[in-house]
Amino acid sequence: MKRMKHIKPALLIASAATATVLLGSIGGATMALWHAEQSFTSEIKTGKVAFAVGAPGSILAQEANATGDKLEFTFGKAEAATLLEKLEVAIPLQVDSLSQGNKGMRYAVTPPKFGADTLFGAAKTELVWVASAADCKVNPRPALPSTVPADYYTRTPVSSDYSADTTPKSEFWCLVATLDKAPGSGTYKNTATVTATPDKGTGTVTDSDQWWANVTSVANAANEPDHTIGFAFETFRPGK
Amino acid sequence: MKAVTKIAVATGVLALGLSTGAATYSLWSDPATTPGGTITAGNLQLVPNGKTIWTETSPDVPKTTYAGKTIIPATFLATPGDTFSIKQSFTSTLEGENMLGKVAVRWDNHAGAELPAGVSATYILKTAGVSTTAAPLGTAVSIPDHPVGTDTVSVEVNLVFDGTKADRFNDPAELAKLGNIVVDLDQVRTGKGFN
Repeated sequence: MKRMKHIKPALLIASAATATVLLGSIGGATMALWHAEQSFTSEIKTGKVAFAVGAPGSILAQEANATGDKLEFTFGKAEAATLLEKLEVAIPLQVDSLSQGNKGMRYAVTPPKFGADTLFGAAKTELVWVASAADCKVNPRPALPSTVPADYYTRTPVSSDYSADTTPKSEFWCLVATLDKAPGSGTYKNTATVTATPDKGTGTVTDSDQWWANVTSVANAANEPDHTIGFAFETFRPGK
Repeated sequence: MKAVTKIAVATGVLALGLSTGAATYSLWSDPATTPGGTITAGNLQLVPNGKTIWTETSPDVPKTTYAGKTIIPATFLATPGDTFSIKQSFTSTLEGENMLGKVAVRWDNHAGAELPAGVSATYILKTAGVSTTAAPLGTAVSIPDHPVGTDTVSVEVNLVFDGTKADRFNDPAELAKLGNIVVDLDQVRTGKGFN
């Protein structure tokens, strides 16, 4: 067996340097395949939906949180007090609708149902679409069409044509209530007749008397319950 | 000499030898003149052709409005049920002997990519003669044997907002970010024409 020859440190370092250069040059050639790359990026944002119901104002605050939500407009004691006092009242409502992009919006109104024992139940009421909040008044009073279309209480404020509008479209409704007189009010009149036989003598004695009273209203606006008008909305795509 | 000195001298000699090696071999030469041979390097390039083009492709949108038309994504407002085609084309150039390329597309989803729930995307890679099948964004797709010459390479992204996706009621606007879609053109030494 041959004895391994001792390599001097200087030679060892030189060999290592040479090998490195050689490997480097070989490695460079190996890794020289060409490469080119390009990239692109893009983004798009989503449109928004908004729906709100309330007393007329500039722009109502967003109320809905999801398509299919049902919103309600509530009224009661204050409006009943006006009705009782003036025998008529007009209550305006605003409906704000926004649907951006290729989506439209429609909604359906559910008129209120009044209990028979309420002031509004005793009144003649109509829920009428009006062009503006100012048109909701008692004189002249807005009225339903002579023939109310079947879809009168369904509205489509936003078509499905593409829209980038940021301001909701406002529509207005008017609940008109009228009373001929305050419920339970009137005059009560009674006549009492008394016939008697005198202690002495013959015959009878007859007398009569009348009494009457103004009966004040038995209705009390403070007892009026809350009433609601319902609004159900949905968004829809073109052709739907 | 001390060891350190020996090392220094040896290194110096080696360096001198390496640098003068070529001169040593050129001592013998033929002075005859010949036409100078010129080797022109090949080329491999990928250059974008203009901007990314977005097209509205929603099947239910009338053609009288946006369907089939280009849109500006910075201002367009997408809604559930919308679909879009996003196209970016490039010009590829390959020159040289023994040159062959591979075109590939990938998705760098670490570069701010964000597809919200209900939004999906696929892409297709196209060259003059080849078109891949649609693959979900993020799937590596490539076309081998890209030949020498100039060609148009394009990536078409199909972006879909599912019709059942919920409407947006609150701010801020939701963004569908495609992230970086990267197209690679690589020289290869395997494939058509190589052993």
